[in-house]
Amino acid sequence: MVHTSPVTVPIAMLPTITAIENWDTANLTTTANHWILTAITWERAFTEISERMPNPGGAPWEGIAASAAERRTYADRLKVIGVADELHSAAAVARKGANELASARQRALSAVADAGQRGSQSPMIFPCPAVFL
Amino acid sequence: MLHTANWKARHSQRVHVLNVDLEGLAVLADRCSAVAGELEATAAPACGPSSHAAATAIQALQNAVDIAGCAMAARLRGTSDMLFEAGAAFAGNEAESARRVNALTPAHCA
Repeated sequence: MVHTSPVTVPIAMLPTITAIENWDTANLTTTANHWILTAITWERAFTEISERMPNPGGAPWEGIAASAAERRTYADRLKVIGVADELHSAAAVARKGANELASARQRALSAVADAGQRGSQSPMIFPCPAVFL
Repeated sequence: MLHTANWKARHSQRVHVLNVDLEGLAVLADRCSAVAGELEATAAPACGPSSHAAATAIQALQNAVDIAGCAMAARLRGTSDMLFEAGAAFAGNEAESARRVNALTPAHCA
């Protein structure tokens, strides 16, 4: 069982109700989508050039220079795919964070609404994904 | 016959297959430049009004993504330049070879 200790976060650092209400997680989702598209664009670009190198313009290119060019573009492709994979991972983290934030926001607002109905004045403490603190 | 076989044996390590389509090299060089332009054109979404730590982290990563994208575009432009230069070198070599061959005077004709 996980306990969230309210004393670890100073009250002054907690967001206000208005801040929670206006907390927009769409930026995270938009950015994640942009990163995924960027990673795909990188992969496609370098894969295309690498695959076309043995037959630039449709006709075979053979010789020492051709081999060197193939090696160069294939190595570039592998390197770019590695970087693109990292970007895919970052996008996944951003998406997960957006979902967690949206969920936490909803829970906090529900708690505020419940407290309002009960007339409670106690401060609201809600868990927030650690990666975004 | 034996002489020919010996010649081939002696030169086999230096003989390479050479097959070049100069127009194809130019086409792919142009494509590399175009793709580099596409990479440079991927604009990042504008950051919203959020001032949370997430926004700072996102901006830092986006800066790294922009730098990586620029480096990749530069690399593709380098590949484009390489292809253009290779095409020019092949064409120059071919012209020079043709000039030398044409300048030869067969000994038995002299």
